[in-house]
Amino acid sequence: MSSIGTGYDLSVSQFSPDGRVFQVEYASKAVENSGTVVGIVGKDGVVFASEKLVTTKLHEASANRRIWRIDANIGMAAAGLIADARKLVEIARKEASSYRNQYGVTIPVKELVKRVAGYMHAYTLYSNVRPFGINCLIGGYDAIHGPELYMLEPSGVSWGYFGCTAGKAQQAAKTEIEKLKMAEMTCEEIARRAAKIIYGVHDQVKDKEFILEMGWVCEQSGGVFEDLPKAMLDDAESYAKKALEEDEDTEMA
Amino acid sequence: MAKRYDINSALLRDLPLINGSHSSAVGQPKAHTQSPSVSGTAVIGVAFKGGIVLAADTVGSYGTLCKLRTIPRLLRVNKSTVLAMSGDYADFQYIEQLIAKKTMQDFCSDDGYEWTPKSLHSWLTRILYNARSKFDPLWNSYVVGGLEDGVPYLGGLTMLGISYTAPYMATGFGRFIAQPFLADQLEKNPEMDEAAAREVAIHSLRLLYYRNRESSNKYQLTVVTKDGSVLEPIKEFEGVWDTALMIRGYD
Repeated sequence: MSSIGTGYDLSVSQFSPDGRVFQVEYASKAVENSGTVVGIVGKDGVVFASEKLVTTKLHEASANRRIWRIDANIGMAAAGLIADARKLVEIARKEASSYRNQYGVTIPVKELVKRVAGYMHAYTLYSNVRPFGINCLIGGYDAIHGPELYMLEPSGVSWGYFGCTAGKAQQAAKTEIEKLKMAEMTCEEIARRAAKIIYGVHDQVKDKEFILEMGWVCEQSGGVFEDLPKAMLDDAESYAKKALEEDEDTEMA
Repeated sequence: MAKRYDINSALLRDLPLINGSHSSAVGQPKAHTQSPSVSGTAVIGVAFKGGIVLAADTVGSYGTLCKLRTIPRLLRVNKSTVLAMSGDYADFQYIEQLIAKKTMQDFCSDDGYEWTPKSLHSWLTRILYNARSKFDPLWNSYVVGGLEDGVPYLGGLTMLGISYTAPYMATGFGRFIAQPFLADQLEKNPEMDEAAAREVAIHSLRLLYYRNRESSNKYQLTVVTKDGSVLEPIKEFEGVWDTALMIRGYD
C-alpha cells in the first residue's frame, strides 16, 4: 500500500500530501473483515439483516448481536468491530433519550444520524484517538417521515439510502439489492429477499457457519423496531435456501 | 378554628418554617424547595384476591384554589405495574419522565426484563430518599401497585423515602379519613374480590369528597389483574348533600 512507510498513516490528525487520511481508510478495511449487513427500505418500513459469523460453537446463539434497538421506532445494524459498534449504540441511545427529554417527542431519524455522524467524525480529528471501525446502518419509521435508512461511515459521512450494505460481501450484496424494486415491496417480502441476499453472499468455504439475524420496523410491527418474529425469520430462511437452490438448478440447466 | 394540614398540600405554606418564611435570607438555609405548588390530594390503593385497584380524584390544587379539575394522577407503567401519586404535580411529571427513560432502556436492551411493582417501588424509594437527603425533596407520596409474580403487591412511599407495603393504602388526607374505613372493610372482608375492592376504593374517595376541600367527585381508577393493567377513563360520582342542612355552628 502506498501509505506504508510514508509516515502519513500513523495518525488521523495529519493529511497525506495527496489529501488523504489513511487511518480512516484503514478503519474501512476493518469493516471489510466483518460479516455482511444489509438494510432495505420498503414501502411501509425498514428491514435489517445480518450475517453473524460463528467463530465457535461454544458461544450462545444470541451472543454478539449486530442489530440493536435505539429507540421505540429506530434500529441500528453495524458491520465492523463489534465493540466499536456497541459504543456507538450507547451514544445513539443517549442522544435519542436526551432528545426525548428535551423536546418530549421521539428523535427524528435524520437528527439522530446527524448527531451520531458528528460523533464519528470527531474521532477522525485528533491524534490521540482512532476512528470507529464500523459502517453503521440506522433505520427508522414514523408517521411523519415514513421509512428512513442511513449509512454512516468511519469518516463521519452519512448518506440516505433505499438499500445499503456493508461488510465482507458489500459488493455482491449491493448488486443484489439493486435488482430489487423495493419501493413497491412490503417489508414482509423484503425480509425474505434480504435473507436470500445474506445466504447468497455468504462464503461457505472461508467462513463456514453463520447465524442470520433480522430486525425491522414497519406497519406490521406496529411502528416498533423489533427482531423479525421467529415464524417469519424461519419462513425467510427457508425461502432463501429454496430460492438459492432453484437459482443453482437453472444455472446448471 | 385550627387549620388542617395535609402533608401533600400547599397549606404547608402556612406552617412556620425556617425563619418563619419561604424566602431564605442571606446566610439562611435555602427554603424554596420546601413547598409544593400545584398538588394532588389523597390516593387510595386496595389489594384484592388476584389483583389491586388504585383510585384518585383528578384535582390539581394551587393552595386552596381548585386550579385544575381534570389531571390524571394515575400512571400505567406496564401490564403488571401502575402508580398513583399525591403531592406536587410537577415533581410527579419529573418522575414520569424518569420512569419513561428507564422503560425505554429496558425496551432497548430487549432482554425481557421490565418494571415490576416491587422494582418500581424500590427504585422510587431510592429516588425520593436521595432527593430528601440533599434537602431538596420531591414533594410526593406514591402508591405503587400491581402483580409481582402473580401476587398482588401494594407499596406505599412518602416524600422522605419511607416505604412500606400493606394490603390497603391511603396517602395525604386519606390517611385520616379513608385509612380507618379501609382497615375496617378489609377486616370484615379479607378475601375481597375485584368488584368489592372497586366499591371500597370509590367509597373512600366519596368519604374524602365530603370532608376534604381539595378533593372532587371526578375520579379515575386503575386495576391490575392477571389479564393486565387498565387505566380507566375519568368518571364522576354524585354527591349527596342532604345532610348539609343539618350542620349547625358554622354560620
